[in-house]
Amino acid sequence: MLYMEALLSGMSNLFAWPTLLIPIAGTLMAMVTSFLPGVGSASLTALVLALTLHWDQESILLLFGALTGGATFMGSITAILFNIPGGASSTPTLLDGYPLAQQGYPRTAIACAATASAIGSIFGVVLLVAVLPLIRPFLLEFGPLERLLVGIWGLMTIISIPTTSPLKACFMTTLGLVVAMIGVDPANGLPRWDFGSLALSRGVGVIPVLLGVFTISELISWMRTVHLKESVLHETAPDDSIRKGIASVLSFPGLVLRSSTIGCLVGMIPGVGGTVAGFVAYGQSVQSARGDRSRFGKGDIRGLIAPEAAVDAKDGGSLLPALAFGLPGSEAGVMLLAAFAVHGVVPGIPMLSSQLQLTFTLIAALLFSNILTSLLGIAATPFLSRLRNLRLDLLALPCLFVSVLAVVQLESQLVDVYIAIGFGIIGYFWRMYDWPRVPFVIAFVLGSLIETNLVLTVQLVQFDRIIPHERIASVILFAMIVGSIFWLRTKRNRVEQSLKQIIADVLIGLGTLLIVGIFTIIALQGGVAYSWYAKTLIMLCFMVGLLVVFLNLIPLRRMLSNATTININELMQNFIVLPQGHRLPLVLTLLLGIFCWLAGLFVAMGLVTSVWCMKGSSKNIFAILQSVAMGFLVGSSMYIFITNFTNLVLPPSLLESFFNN
Amino acid sequence: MRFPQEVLRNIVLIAVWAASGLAGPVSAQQCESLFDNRNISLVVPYSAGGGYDNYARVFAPVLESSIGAKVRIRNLPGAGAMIGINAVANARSSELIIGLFSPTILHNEKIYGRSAPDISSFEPLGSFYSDSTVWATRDEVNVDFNDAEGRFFAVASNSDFNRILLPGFALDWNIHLVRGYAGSTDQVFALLRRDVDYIYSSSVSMANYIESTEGINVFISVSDGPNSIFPDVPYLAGTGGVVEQLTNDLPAEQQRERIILARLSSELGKTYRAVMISSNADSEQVVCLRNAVEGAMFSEEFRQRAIAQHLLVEPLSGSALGSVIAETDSLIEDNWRLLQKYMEKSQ
Repeated sequence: MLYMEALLSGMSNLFAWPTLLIPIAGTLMAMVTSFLPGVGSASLTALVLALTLHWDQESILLLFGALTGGATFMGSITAILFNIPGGASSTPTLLDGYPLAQQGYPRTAIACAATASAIGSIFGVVLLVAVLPLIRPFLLEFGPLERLLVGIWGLMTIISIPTTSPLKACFMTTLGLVVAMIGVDPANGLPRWDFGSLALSRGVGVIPVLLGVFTISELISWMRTVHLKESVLHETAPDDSIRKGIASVLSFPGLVLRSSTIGCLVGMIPGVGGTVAGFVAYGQSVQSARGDRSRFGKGDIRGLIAPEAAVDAKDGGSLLPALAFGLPGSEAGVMLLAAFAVHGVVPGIPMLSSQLQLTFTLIAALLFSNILTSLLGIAATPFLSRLRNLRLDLLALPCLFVSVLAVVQLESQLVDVYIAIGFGIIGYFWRMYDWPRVPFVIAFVLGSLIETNLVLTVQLVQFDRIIPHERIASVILFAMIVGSIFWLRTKRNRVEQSLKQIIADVLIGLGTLLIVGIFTIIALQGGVAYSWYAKTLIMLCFMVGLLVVFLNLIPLRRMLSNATTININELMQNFIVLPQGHRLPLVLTLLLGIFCWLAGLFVAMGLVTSVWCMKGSSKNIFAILQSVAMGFLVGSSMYIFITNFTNLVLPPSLLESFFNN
Repeated sequence: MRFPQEVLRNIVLIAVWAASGLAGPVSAQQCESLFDNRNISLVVPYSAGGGYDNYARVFAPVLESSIGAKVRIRNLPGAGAMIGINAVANARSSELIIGLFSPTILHNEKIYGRSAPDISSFEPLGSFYSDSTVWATRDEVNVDFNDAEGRFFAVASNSDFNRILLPGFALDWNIHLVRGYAGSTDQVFALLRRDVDYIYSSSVSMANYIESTEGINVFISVSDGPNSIFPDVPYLAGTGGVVEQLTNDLPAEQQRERIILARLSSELGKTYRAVMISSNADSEQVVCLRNAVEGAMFSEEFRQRAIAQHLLVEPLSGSALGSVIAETDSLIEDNWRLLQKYMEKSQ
């Protein structure tokens, strides 16, 4: 079948009536599911697979294309409005999207994200269609060396993100790489820093860490307002509008095209993923930005356009390994191949030759679904932007529970809840005392990609299986990394710090050093599970941490000796003893983890609800009973929801184990 | 006198498996009341969408309709399937939790000396299908079994002894492992990119890769007879196997050792899509669930559904699977020192 003929056939499959309803239904299902906690995309796809056994191939591809494209954009809306990324790939969106909404531009931000997504998606698909015949040799160019270089290039993104202290950013970067190493050594499969826990030997999950560092830390600050009786209404800027959001995307055509290209190319590389695409695009948007760059991370529209365009452009690219080789490059690819197997669609060469019209049917559905989500997003912008005016203090606890459910639904492991809560509390302090969280997160996301491919590259070079300078893709990537380093040398600014900030840095630095020190001792005594990479990195992290503390002690000593009016006790008191309004949210979050460990998830949710209701109400018996009843209601509703509507099988709590034995 | 001892042990072990199934007669009414308004959790210790998950999703509705209880699939991946397997092993006696995994994974964990539940922690309820390991290379690579040159294999981490190194010792190949690839997909890419020259996988998965990807062929099946999916490909162990042919001229002791290594490779390289339950479960539960699982597994409805999803079905009853497990256990025990010798050699 000729190429154009197949393309037209794919498009006509999409727009035939009534089959057009299939991608519409698929898109809506994916959009709704991405909002529901406990119902992951894997569960949805498996359910859909079981219900569509007798469908024909075209209909199945239309449905799966729509399911793939439908979920991405909705994650961006929660990231913009509530600082809650719907998925790991929506994380770069919140860096500038959430500050924009906070500054009174929720409509602008949502419309901008929707427009950038739609354009990115169209560009990604056009590029995909153009390069499809040449795709096999291209994909084979990307081996461990190239993936390693993509990882390092992504790491260069950190350099471009404005920060008050490059040294702290450096420490957070090494810390992110260290946390990514927890689990098993990728080469010998031996457990590493797992403290004997089987659940921890899976490693620290990306979603629990992201939800902890960004969302739970944010929710703690929302809960601070529990004592305030008045609603916290957000002012909307007078020039906030959908038109402004759309126009802002159109005014940066170069940025949109660059970001879409990055998204599509990174998406094609198996095992790299959409989160990396978003961060790499964000980094290049900062590096290539003209004029004032200081607004990045504080609500620069360019920092929203870049990741949105890249993440949607990567959708098409990520399906290519499945289409071209029958090998899944992402979770969506696994599901697609499962659907192929059930319906007798042969992936690989046939999809690029005899069954090309099926490939274009899938691509058309993907494009349609991406555009439909963006249109629906824009249409719903006035309504969605009003969600921001809900009382945050009332929303905080339900949002915390939703986050916990989202974490636990991943693999039914309570350790993920503890990780999310732990990073939520740490993230709160990082946020409060201006420790850069983004370098930590980027390094953490890229850590395992970098280590795995470094280990592979070293072996392949040792065995003479690859010669790095003879590989074109690696030479280009290397040049791009060098370019980023050059940019670093010329664009850095230094920021002066206050005394309180310095004390906070010393205390947080010492606390973190203690943990890193324990990890270092374990690594140095731990045997073969701790490779040279693991040992080098943990020692580097310790040294940089030590440097952060030491370099803060020098100005601290100077400032204290010069100062005559500073009340040191008062200053330390302010830092060490948390302000009144901060205590309850932190304790509640910590209690949720402890109750969960002691008595199970449902009981923990019920107990925390009771405590929360009691704290906000008067202390008479009726109010106490009301709080207990509320807690019981929440706990039992969660129990019914989890046991009947989700696929979770939770490990027993301490009390359960005790009574069962 | 080794042979009669082995036979005797097998008879005892099989008798134990059989006795556990017959521990007290359980009536159909008792089973009905056991399943009445109950949920059965079918734990799959791998992610949704994979091979084991596909069998679970075809099987669950058939089991559900045959016993009337609700069957819910729980994917519990991680730690090399050990999280899910532990969840099944540690299930409380009051819970109806069954697992879908291969018993050979536990045999292999025992050889590695890792902490994992012993195979005796489970009662087998039946198996949908068993599959052998095959090795593949690119079309242009000329495989000469007699050649001692270095062979580069792509592997994920250190779970490669039973499927690569042990057969490699049987063939007397000089094998180099390039470790760290993320699963079989990444390994196929490594082969196509020429990072390595050889990969391994189960027969079914490899057949799918070959169908989708040009330029790959299977050159040996790590089995003790012809492979049903690749019938024309040479096989490693047993009469007429590659190892037998390669060792014809060797002294008897050396030949015997290599033939045992080949047999061990064949047994330990097999994977079963098996349904297991914790041995802590009540005997009534075990009997009822074994009857229910076997009934559903051998039913025409399941076969038709599985064929519709391109899944292969060659069911084994719980007692037959128990015999296979007992035989493998016995084989490992008899050759424990040999296995440890080669395990040390591989490190």
